[in-house]
Amino acid sequence: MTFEQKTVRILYKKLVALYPRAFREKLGESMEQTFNDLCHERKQTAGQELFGFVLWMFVETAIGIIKEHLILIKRGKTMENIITNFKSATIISFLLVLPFMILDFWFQIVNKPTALSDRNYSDFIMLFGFLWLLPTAFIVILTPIVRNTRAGNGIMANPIYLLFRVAFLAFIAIIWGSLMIDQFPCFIGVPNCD
Amino acid sequence: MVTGNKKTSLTPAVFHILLALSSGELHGYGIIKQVEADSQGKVNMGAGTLYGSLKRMLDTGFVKESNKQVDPEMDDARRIYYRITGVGEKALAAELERYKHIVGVAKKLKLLPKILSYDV
Repeated sequence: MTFEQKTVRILYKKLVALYPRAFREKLGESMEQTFNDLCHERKQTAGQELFGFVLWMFVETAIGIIKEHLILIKRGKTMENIITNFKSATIISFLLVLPFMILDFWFQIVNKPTALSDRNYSDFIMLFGFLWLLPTAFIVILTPIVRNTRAGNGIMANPIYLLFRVAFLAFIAIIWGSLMIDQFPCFIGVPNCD
Repeated sequence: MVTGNKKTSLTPAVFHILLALSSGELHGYGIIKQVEADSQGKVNMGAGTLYGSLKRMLDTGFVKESNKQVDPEMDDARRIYYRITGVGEKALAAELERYKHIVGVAKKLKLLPKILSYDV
């Protein structure tokens, strides 16, 4: 089978255009040049079948394109995971704090309906913002430990890193627990609490 | 990923490219021909494998781009030449050392055919 080299070159150029942009801009031209060199060599070598070679080059390059895109997706996924983890952590934390927010509002209305208009909302936002942020941080810090353990990686592989994380988790838990104990009477409607 | 595992082993493509570049600066086509020659025609590298590996090797600092030059044996187009770096040389040396050790083990176990039993 005879191939018009120009057509093959154009087709290869179109194939190279499917590489991720950064890759294409850096190495695309060199790839085309190398392909042309190889075709030129094959054409000059008597008895070499060009069709098989061109087909192999196209398949090999197509595999390379898929590989490069997969690498990009993998990198993108890492970022996506971080974002998803943070999103999940904020939602879980919000669901944890929501019942106390409802209780606080409910008992404010029951005890003194007019208190809502007099209430200092900046304190309310500060308190529940804090109660929301602390579990979010807790989940974000805890997730890599859980993921490593589930993946079968040794939890003690990096003991200093683990120690820091556990210490920080304990610190967050103590602050959150103390705040909850301190504010719990207000959540359940004990009069004159602050 | 340039390396085959987290320690030192390189992928076959990276190993062959480093080996080819250890003899001097080469452009893409030159690397393919050198790899073919080094492997006695047993390794045929395509442009996809070559440039995918080169991209990662550039990122890890195993190779560097040289200035564009004209290859007098090829057409008059200016080509990008690549050269091995110190890091690349170290990685190649480590890989060769690993191969040497493996061949040594194989020799001890008398796994090598007589024709291949050279001194390691």
